[in-house]
Order: sequence, then C-alpha cells, then structure tokens
Amino acid sequence: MKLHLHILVILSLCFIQSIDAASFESTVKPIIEKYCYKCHDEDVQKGDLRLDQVLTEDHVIQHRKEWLRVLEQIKSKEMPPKKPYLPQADLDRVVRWLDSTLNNYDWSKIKNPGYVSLARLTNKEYTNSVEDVFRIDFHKKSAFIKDAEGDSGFTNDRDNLGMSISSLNKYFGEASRYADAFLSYKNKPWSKTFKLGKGDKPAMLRNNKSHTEAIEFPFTGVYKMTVNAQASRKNVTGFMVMINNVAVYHQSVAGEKAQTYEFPVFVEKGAGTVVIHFSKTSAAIYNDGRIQHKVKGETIREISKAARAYPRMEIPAKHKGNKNYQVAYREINQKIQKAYRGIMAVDVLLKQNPLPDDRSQLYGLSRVLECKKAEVIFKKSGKEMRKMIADAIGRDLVKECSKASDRYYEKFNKLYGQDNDSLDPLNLYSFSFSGPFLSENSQDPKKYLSMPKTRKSAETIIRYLAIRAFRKKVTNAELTPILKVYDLTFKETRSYDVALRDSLISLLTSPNFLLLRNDLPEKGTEIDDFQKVSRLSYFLWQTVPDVTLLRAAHTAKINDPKVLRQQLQRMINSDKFDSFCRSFTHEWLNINGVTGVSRYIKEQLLKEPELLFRKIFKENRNIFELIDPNYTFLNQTLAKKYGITGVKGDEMRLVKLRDKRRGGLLTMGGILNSTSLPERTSPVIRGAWIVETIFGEELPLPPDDVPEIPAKNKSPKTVRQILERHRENASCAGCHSRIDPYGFALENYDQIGRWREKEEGNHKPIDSSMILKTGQKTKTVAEFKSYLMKYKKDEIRRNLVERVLAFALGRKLQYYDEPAIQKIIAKVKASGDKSFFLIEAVVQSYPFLNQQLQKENL
Amino acid sequence: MRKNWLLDRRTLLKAAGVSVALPYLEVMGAGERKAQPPQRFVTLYFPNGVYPGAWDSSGSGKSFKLGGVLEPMNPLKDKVMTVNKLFHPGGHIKNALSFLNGYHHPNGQRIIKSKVSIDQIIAKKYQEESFLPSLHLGVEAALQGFNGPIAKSHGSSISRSFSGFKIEPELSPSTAFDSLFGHRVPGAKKAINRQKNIVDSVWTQAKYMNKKVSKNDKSKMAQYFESLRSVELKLNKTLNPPKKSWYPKSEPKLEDYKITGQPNGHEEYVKLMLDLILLGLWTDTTRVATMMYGVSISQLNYNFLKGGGNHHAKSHHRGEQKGIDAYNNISRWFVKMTYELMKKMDEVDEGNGSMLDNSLILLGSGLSDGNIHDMKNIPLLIGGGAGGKLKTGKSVNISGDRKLADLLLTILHKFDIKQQDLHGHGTKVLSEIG
Repeated sequence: MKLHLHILVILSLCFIQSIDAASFESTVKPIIEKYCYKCHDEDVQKGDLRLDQVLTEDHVIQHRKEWLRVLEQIKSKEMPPKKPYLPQADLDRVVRWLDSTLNNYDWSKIKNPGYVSLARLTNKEYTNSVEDVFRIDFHKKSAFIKDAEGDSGFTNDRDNLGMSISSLNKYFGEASRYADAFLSYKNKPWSKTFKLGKGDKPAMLRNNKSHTEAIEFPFTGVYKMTVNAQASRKNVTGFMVMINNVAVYHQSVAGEKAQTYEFPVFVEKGAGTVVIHFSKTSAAIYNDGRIQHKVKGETIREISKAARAYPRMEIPAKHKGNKNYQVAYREINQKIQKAYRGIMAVDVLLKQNPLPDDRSQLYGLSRVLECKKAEVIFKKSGKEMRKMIADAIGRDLVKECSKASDRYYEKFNKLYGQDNDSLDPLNLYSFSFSGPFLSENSQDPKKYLSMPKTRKSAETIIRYLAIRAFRKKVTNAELTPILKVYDLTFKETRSYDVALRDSLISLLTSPNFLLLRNDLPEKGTEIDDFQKVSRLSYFLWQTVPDVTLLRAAHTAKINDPKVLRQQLQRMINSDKFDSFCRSFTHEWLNINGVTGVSRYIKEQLLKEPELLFRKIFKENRNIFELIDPNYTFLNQTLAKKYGITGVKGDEMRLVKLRDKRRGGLLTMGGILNSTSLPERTSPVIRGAWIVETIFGEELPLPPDDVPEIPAKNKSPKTVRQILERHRENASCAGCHSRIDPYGFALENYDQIGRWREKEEGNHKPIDSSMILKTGQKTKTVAEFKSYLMKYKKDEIRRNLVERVLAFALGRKLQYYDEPAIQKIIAKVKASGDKSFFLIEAVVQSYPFLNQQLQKENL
Repeated sequence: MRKNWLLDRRTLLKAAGVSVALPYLEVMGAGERKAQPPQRFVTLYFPNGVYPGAWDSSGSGKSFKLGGVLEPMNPLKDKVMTVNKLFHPGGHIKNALSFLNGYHHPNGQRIIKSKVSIDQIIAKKYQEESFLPSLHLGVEAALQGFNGPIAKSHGSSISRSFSGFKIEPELSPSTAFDSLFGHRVPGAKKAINRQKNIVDSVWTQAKYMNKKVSKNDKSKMAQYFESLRSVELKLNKTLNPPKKSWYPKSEPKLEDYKITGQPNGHEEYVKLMLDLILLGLWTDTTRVATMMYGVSISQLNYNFLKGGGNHHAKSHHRGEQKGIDAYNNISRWFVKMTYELMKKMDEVDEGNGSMLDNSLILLGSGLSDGNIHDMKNIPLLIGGGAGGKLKTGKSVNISGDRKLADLLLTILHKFDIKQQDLHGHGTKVLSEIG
C-alpha cells in the first residue's frame, strides 16, 4: 500500500515537471477559447458555467469542482456537443493538462485553514445552550423563526448567522422568561385538576370540537400537564393541546381503556387559555396518506356566501353604555357569525341530502355556547358569561341548542363526509396542571435557590453559570457589568430574587453567550483549547460544552489524542448527540419539505433516516449502511405503509428486513416524498437529489422556460415514457441523461413512498431499470443499491466527509480545504469506513483546529 | 364625515382564531393642528412577478386605464400611478434583496452584506420623531435550500440596514403589535429603569468583547450593536416620548390591547398585518413600513382563492391558460389587499387631506414575467400624494432603459432627501413621475 503511494507521488511529480506552466498559455488556452467560449463566455454561460475568466493554474485550483466537471465532460466527449468537435490531439492536450493540474496537484503548497466567522447561535443551539447552562429541560417552544440554511447547506453556516435589528428585543424577552422559569423552582408546589363531563360520564370530543378552559397560571415555568382520555370505540383517535393558541402537544389515542397522558409544558404567568382539541392529524392514522376534503369547493363557497348575512344580537337597551357588555356582545356576534356558517352549511347540504327533521338550524346556534374563550379575555366567570349569553338569546333556546347539537352533529358529519378517515369520538375524563415541574434529566436548581439571600450567593451563582454560558474562563471584566445589574436592581427593589433575575437576563443576553466566538489565535493559527472544546460541543451536541469538556480545555488535556478519543466516545454516547443526528440528517438530506401527510406520519418519516444515521454513528458501524443495510426503523403505521407485517405499536424500532425493497436512505418515505410532486413522482427531482445529495455533485439550474410534463399525469403514457421522449431533445439530454436514470431506478415508489407495481391512473406497469450512458444497467432497486455499493463508494464517502466537515466547521468548504478532505477520506478508508473514525478525523483536521484570516489567493 | 370614521370593525384585529381585546376607537379631540402631517412611506412587495400585460396601464387623467390585475384599485384610480418599463436585474433571489436598495450584486460573490435600502434612509430622517423608526412585516418564513449557488434565505427580506445587513421581517402579529404599542401598556414604564440597567450592562460587555474580536468580525459585532441600540432607543423613547411637531387628529385607544396566536386563514393573517401597518401609521408610532406578501420564490398556497395554488408554481404558467388565470388571480389579490389598506388610509382625515394623501405607497415586484424570470418592465405602482408632492392618476412610460434604482432615488427626493446617487445605480431622478 505504502509502496503504491510512493510510486504515485513520484509519478505525479514527474508529470508536473513535464508540463511547462507557460505551455498552458500557448497551447491549452487557445483550444478552450476556440471550442468552449461560444457557449461558456460571460454572455451565454450555458449550464451556469463561464470559462472565459483568466485561466491560470491558481484559478483552476480555486474552482476545482467546476473544472473536474469540465475535465470529465471533455474526456467523455460529451462536450462540445455540436460541431466543431475537439480534434483528438487537442483533446489529449487539454485533458492531460487539466488532469495533472487538478488531480496531481501538490496540495502541500496550500496551507490555509480558512476562517469561521463570529456568529450568533442558531435558534436550536440557543435553546439547547440555555437549557444546558441551567441544566434544566424547560420544554419551551422557540420564540424564533426557524433558521434557514446558509451557503454550506446547513443552518449552522456561521456566515449566514447575523443579528437582525429586532433580534435583541426578542432575546431580552426570552431571557426574562428563562430567568423567571429558573427562579420558579423555589415556588411551593401548585396543582389544579379539571374534571370533565358529568358524574362518571366523560366529556365527549368529536370532529372539530374542543374543550376550552381558562386558567390563571401562578408563575412562568414548566408545568406537568396530564390528560385522562380514552378512545370511545376501538379505532384510533387523537387530540391536540393548545395553550394560548399555540399547539404544544399532540397525542394519538388507541384502546378502550382510559389512559393518563403526561407531558411537560412551558407556560407564562397569568391568564391562559387551554384548549384540548379533537385532532385527526395527531392521530396515528394512515389510510392513503392524505387528508382529503370531500366537500367540493362550490359547496364551501355557497356556504360562505350565505353565512355573510348573519343576524346580529343587539345589546339590551339598559346595558348599552356598559363597556363589558359591548365587548361581550361583539364576541357573541362573532360567534354567531361562525355558527351561522355552520347553519348555512347544514342548509346547503340539506338541500342536497334532505333530512327528515327540520331543526337543523339549532346545530349551528348551539355553537354559541362555545363562548368560553371570552371568559379569559374579559375576566368573567363561565357562569357569568353563560348568563350573559342566555340573556341574549333566551334560556330555553340554549338548552334546546345543546341537546340538538349532539344529535345533529352526527348526522351533519355523515352528510358532510368531511374526511375519508373519519375518526371516532374521544372520551375526556379530566386534565390537570402541576408545577414547578422538573423533568428527569434536569439537575435540581435547589442548590442555588436555597443559598442564603446574599450578594455573595448571587455572585457564586452568576459566576458558575457564566463559565458554562461563555464557554471559557470568565474574567472579572466580563463579570462586573452583570454584578452591577444585581447591585442596581437590589438598590431599587431591595429584593434578592428580583436582582438575581435581572442579572440573569444580562447574562443571557450578553454577546459572550449569544455570539459564538472564533477568535484568531494570538500566535500561529491554532485556536485555543476552550475554543476547541466549544467547536467540539457545537458540532456534536449543538450546545455549550459541559464541565468535563471545559475541564479538559482548562488542563489542556484535550490535546492528548487519547483524551480526545475518550471525550469523543463519551460525546457520541450522550443523549445530546441526538441533536446532531437530527439536524445533520434533516438538513443534509433536505427532507424538511415532507408534505401531504398527517403530522403524525411526518414525524415518523423524518425519524427514520435520523435513527439509521444515529445507529451507524453511535455503534461505530460502516457508513455505507446508509445505503444498503438489512434493517430499518419502523413503527406500526409506517410498517403498514411500507407493506411490512408484524410490527405492532407506536414506537419506532429496529426492524430486520426480509427483502431489499426497503433499507437505506433511498428507500425511505421521507426522501421519496420530499422529492416528488404532490400528485405524481418526479424521476428528475429524485435523480437530481441523488446526484447532488448523495454523490455531492453540483448541478446547474435548469434553463428557464422548459416545457414540463403536467403536475398530474393524465396521459396514457407513464411518467418515464414521457420523460424519455423529452430527453430526445439534445439540449435537454446533456444534463438529464446524468440525472433521470437514477430517478427511474426508484419508480417503484409512488409520490408518498409506497411500493407500487403499476402507475396510478393509466395502470401501466412500472419500469424501474436504470441505464447509464456508460452502459451500466440495473433492473431493480436491489440491483441499484448493489450498483451504488460497487461503483459509487468513492463519491458517497467523499460527499459524506465533505458534508460532515462543513457542518463541523460551520462554513462552506473552499478549495483550500482539499488537502484536509483528502486526509480525512484516507483515514476513513483505512479504518474500514467506520463512522467513529470519520468524526475523529474531522475534529483532528487542520481547518477544525486552526483559524486564519482567509486569503483570496493561494 | 371622515371624522367619525372608525377602523372597519369586522376586519381589524379580528381574524378568526385570534383572541383580541378590541380597542375602542375614540376621537381624542384635536391634536396640534398648526404643523403639517408627516409624510409616510409604505412598501408592499410581492414575489414572482406578474403575467406579461396584466399590469399594463395607459393614459392619464380621465383616460387613465388600469390594466388587468390592477382592476381592484379602480376606485382609487385618481390616487395611484403605474410606472412602466423600468429594469431591475438580479434573478429570483437578488431581485428581492435589492428591491429597495437597487444595488446590483455581482455574480458569483458571497452575499453577506448589501447596501442600505431607501426605507431605512427615510426612517433615519424621522427617527427622532417616530417611536419606531420602521416596521417590517412578512407572512412567509425564509425558505430553506438553494437557488443555484445562492441560499434562498437571502430572499426573505427587502430591507437592509445602514451597515448593509438584512432586516428580517416580523411574522408574528403579536410581536409586531408589541413592538409598536408594547410601551403603551399600563405599567410598561415602571420597570424601565431596571431594563435600562440591564441594557447598559450588555453594552459594557459588548464593548469589551468588541476589543477582543478580530477585524473580520467587527461587522458581525456591528450588527449586535445595531440591534442593541434599537432596544435602547426604544426604552429611551418609552421614558421620554419623542417630541413631535404634529399629533394625529384622532387615535384608536390602545389600552388592554393584546394579540395572541396566529390567525386561521391566510387572508385574515395578511389583513391583520396590514391593519397593524395602518395602526402604526395612524398613531404616528412609525412612519415607514414594509410588507412582504411572500419571500422570493414564494411557496405560499393560494387555494383559498378560486383558482389559486402555489404561487411560484403558478408563476411558471408555461403559457397554459389555467396556470395564467391562477397567476393573475394571485396578483390581483395582492392588489386587492393593497387597495383595502389604501382605502382605509384614505378614510383617516388628517386635517390636511387624508393619511393616504400624506403617504407614498410603493407596490411592486422585482421580476416581470415570472415564467421566464424576466427583469424588464417590472410591475410597479405608486400611490398616495406624498404630502402633495406626487401627481397621480396616470400611467407613466419611462424611456431609455432606466433602472428601478432611479425610481428609488426619485422616491428619496419626494421625501426631500436630495442625494444625487443611490449605490451607483440610481443616478438620475425620473422626471416623468412629476
């Protein structure tokens, strides 16, 4: 092996010497000028490629990826596609020069670790970091919009992470909520239970129904919520909990025994509205994967039109001047309007399907009773509110409505035929809140909160939290401003708690916490040890380094390869590693766009690749199990969708596969779904996805104004047949012959990832053979996977290495990263493609451990 | 008659599913009347262009005819003008990010910073007098993934700060509401001294850190400072409300005002956001606002319109009638929403004409035909009177291959900001605007 390398090195050295740099100007450049500029100059730029810039060796190296493509295209005579073709002698000359420049380049000439810029934490990193600073699981939903990917393809691209002008305003708000929640643990336990229904009879929740309760929460922080519910019949059903109009929890309910569902929720102090909503999208239902609305658009429009003329309630004369009444009546009228829409729906539908009874109007009116939300808003008790409504519409009518409602709802629903997977009602017995709640993995903050209320205690707490939050040794200069806040607030309020709270807000909005520093080393290029562990931690955990890592930095032991290896193993074994698995797989595979399935299914579809990746990396398995393992992760619902029997229950677990139709990223519903159009598969999108996401090539954008086949294939021809004709066009064939064949190989999966033998609509049999221009062929998915394992390993390995490195660094890779990439690849290969060595090689790589101002030139 | 007009009660902050304590609108009595009402600037951006010809208008005065999708604007025809034949290079992403600064980003360059947009230049002029220098709203989150070599996330904002950084639009109605009126909530002033102390301590920490970071990172620190300054400014203004030369004649009373959660339907959502703009301008809390009906390559679904669908997909209509109809329906809806905002603005009497008469509204997209990503003749409409500085009711054809940047420069002039150049691309005022 070693000998081999030596020979290679010597050979390549000879090669470089044999090519005179000046010969490029006189021999190669004129050829490119003559044959390539026509389509690839500044004006035309076909395939997004420009070749008319100053061509020097440096330029070619800096745009290595592009030129590798050029080399390949010229070599295979794909380019130029039209006359004049390259004469063989010219072709040889260009190929030889490019080949030696690109592939036999002496990378030792380049030593540039690149520069990772200072950046705010991603929103995910922020949430994780706050929780780990306090070591409390707050279960708080992020107040920030999801980050978008930067140029590296990942949301942690540091170049892309800046502060917007309004950001800090939000950070101050979040910090005060977290500070309050932290201090809430000194509160006495509080709990409240709400019994529903009458006597032993539970309340019943049906389609579109919900139970609303107004609750005064005594503090900001984590509560444990429990819901006691039962499926009324044997079918699966579900509910969703919303607090202050934000969905916080989804639960699928099955089985006829009542069960208590427990979950933590973060709630702010004060009046809150809690809604338990019957929800079909929360239920583990998967019929054909889509929630379909049978009601025709026409009917809906007719209903809305009719509902516009709703009757309004007038305020009784004696209350006219009363503001509370005005507000309440406004609310009532709103509700009536909504209800009226219901009435009209019944009316319209009754016209289509007459009912024997004519009291259907009452159904709608009964909705008026759902005025409970108003209780919270106007701080009135439910009783008062109901009285107000009863006064408004008459007591008898209220009673009548509520009785009629139940009867008519069922009929209404049958008529409405709202969804084909109509659910059974749900029985609700009770629900409760208790807090402050501390989840299992959290560390009890009592040791801080039970300290004597002195300034010294405050200083101890702040110093301790600051070391973790700032990810380094904390200097007095950094601590003093925070302690000053304590002093000022204490002076004003005389309250230790309030003063501590304010100083915690200062700590959590400090740039030392919110901004991830990547300082230039004072000497040389190697970053300091605290930054090393910080990089490690944000790479593998997406959070602040823990005490063990900080200690390893403090003692400089992190530089000992043995210690580093131990730490890496510990980090991978930790639960925090899941965060990396999730972010990395979702963003790498670009599957956040799964659509057209219920929320429940979407969750499972996203989990499947994540769990595969997790297993491979946690157990130091072969990275190519990503492509062709003999197992996958399923639960009952997903197994059913895949046509796999014998999997019972909700949780995702490892399932050994009996054949090759499933197994590996390419056969996963999440990927197959997000690379399809809503109503049909798209071999083009799937093919392009494989080329870009799995092989790591960069494809040019499709030209504007290309004729496409319709989003829904109504033709008697299969999608494949249509595409194949499309490719007869020479201008399309250039790219599509590189893309489409891979997509064809997956044609046995429909647009939501189910196995199929025939195409929907035209019932033509599926042809999933792949034929490449090179003549390589596969017939089935199984063969396709074998093909990848046999011929595409190098591409797949390099791609994975590049992606992991880009994620670890938080920046887009540049040409000067090539030597590091090659080193990592060599290490991975030597280890037998074991995942651990990929991670280890990445964190030992030159760009990971060094930092330098980026130089534009070599 | 105008005096008694109140915000449309059915639409204002009443979107289904949003619990809102509705404000009681009261005429607060005459404010200071001597001074002129201020000029306001509102930009409404929509992505993905329009179908060729659908925006074409012609004539002036009585013969002024508004083109196809502009039809909802007809009742306000006298108060708008279309500006035709302007050119705005940049493709999908760049056209959005430079819609208000007119800067042409060279190809193949990383985009981290851009140039200041005109809304910020105008906002700076008024920053002493308005509580919130500018309000930026949107209804679609930044997209994931790439458009060729450019991350789509760059197309999620049309505003850039003076240091060139993206100003992310606010998507949450309740946060937007708080940023406008949070300081008016009873008790807001009480805790302000303590908040100021916290902000001061963060300043000290940031300045200390700034000394340590490398030259390369100063710009990222600048963003942090910019953001911190805006928090500080807000606190200061809460404590010492800006002294103004003018106060609104009438004002909605905003006590106990709260929005929680997200509206149910998309139309309700958009209307709520536009109402927030109206409220902000009316109370003179802000004088500059931008609203994005969608991010670049918007994936919003307009199924709630008869013949709607995914906006970007429909913009690639491929010449099919059904696609063209949907594309037009969506464009028409943007015009309708804008019309409704303008109509309400026109009903607020400010003594010296309506609020609309005192404002300059810019409605448009950075692309022409979305199907082929055309950059010539982009759809643009200007409305309002800009405080008597704009003569509307006409369709203006600009000759000689002029750029959008020239229109942006012209708008600056309408606000008496008489700079001669906008980032090297806006070089001459469009005299045709009048």
